[in-house]
Amino acid sequence: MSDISQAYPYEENGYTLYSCATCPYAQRALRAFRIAQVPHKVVEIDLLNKPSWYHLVNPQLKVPTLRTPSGDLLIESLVIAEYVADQFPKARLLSLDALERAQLRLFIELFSTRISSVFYRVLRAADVDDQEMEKKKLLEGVREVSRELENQWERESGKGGPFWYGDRFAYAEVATVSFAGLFRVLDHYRGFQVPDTQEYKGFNKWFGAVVNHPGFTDVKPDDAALIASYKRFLP
Amino acid sequence: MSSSSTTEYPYEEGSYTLYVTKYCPFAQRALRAFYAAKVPYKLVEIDLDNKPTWYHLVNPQLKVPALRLPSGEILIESLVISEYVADQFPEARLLPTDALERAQLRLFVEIFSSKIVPNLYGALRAASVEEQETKKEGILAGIRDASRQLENQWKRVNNNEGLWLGDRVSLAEINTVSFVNQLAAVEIHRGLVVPQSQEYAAFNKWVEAYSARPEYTEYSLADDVIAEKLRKFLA
Repeated sequence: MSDISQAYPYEENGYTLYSCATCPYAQRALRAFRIAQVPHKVVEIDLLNKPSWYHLVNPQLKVPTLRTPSGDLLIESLVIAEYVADQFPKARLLSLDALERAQLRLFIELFSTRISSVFYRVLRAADVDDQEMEKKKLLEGVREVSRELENQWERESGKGGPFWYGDRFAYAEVATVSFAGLFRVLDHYRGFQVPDTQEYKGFNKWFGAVVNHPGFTDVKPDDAALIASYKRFLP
Repeated sequence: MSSSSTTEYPYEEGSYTLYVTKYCPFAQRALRAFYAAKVPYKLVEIDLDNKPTWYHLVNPQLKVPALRLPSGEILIESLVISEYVADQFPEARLLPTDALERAQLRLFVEIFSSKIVPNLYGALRAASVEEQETKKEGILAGIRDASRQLENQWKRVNNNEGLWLGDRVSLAEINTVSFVNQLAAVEIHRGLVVPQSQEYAAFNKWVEAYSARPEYTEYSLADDVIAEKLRKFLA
């Protein structure tokens, strides 16, 4: 680490990732680096008590932020993850085929709008009726994601699953598993569970494989810390 | 064109078919991508106020744009479609090949998606003058951000011809210029003025540069047409 005469801490001649262990967006960046096996320094940012220098790294004060060896700063979790995929093509995080890339991007977008966004609404809903409505919407989203996974597993690039790229934990997982990992939080605060029925088969097969893969477990925050960190979203 | 029935939809056999509405800024991203890459396609115009009964077969979300590939696959989401064109036709050079440059271009586009576009529609929808002013300031803050990024970018490419990549149109313009065009509605209905001062100089230079390009003029709409089209958003 560089000394205090620099304006903010970073790793000289290396990658520095400013992150927060419980933040699902930051986990995308962490996982991208780990799956690609690219050495990187992690600087943990306490989001409830940000260091006074952090605005020099990211004026929006969000995580993750990436400092490249050249001193360039990148923000936005998916931009960072895609940068890693582009910069380290040997890791094969992302297919080179245009259609496959597009289908993967659509999957990530689906997951984001039908699962990740709804997750926050379930937490924030004040009365029980609203919570139930949002939970229903969330299950609808899980069913849609289930169907998309099954579509993908019929394709050449998906060949039977359980991950988006078949037997490889790669970009689609990097971009989504941290949000699936939040279901624990919803179970704790809202009694939310994904049923073990046919309509959810795709999701359960995928997530069942995800939770046992080091790509997930290596970056998984401690359950208690994770659950506690979401308390502030409750009404 | 294949025949239509209740279970079919019109498309061009062996070619790309693009389902668009010409005045929709999202659809214009797809139109400009195909234009810039010089890829032939069949255009099917969708009347958003009177959608064809078959359109759900193309896009269950009933939005434009949608793209049918020669293989029969369908893609949705304007940014996914324009990126597909960039990936599928790399000789068009709509994206740089360098990972960092790609990331920086994506972040430039993100300013429009996250800061300018929401405030654009927000300013139109806002009932009170106070809220309109807040949204207008949000647009200007986004434009200043874009201006700074353009300045940084031009130092990097050492090229002062005014486009993001200097002398050629890329996704930096394709994914954004339709929304700058839309600002005419905020100017006419809400009195938005983009200053000519230093903070906005790079942005204004960029607008001047792309406005002269056929990639822009082929699909741009006159200010009064835009203002009329967006009248429906007014509170």
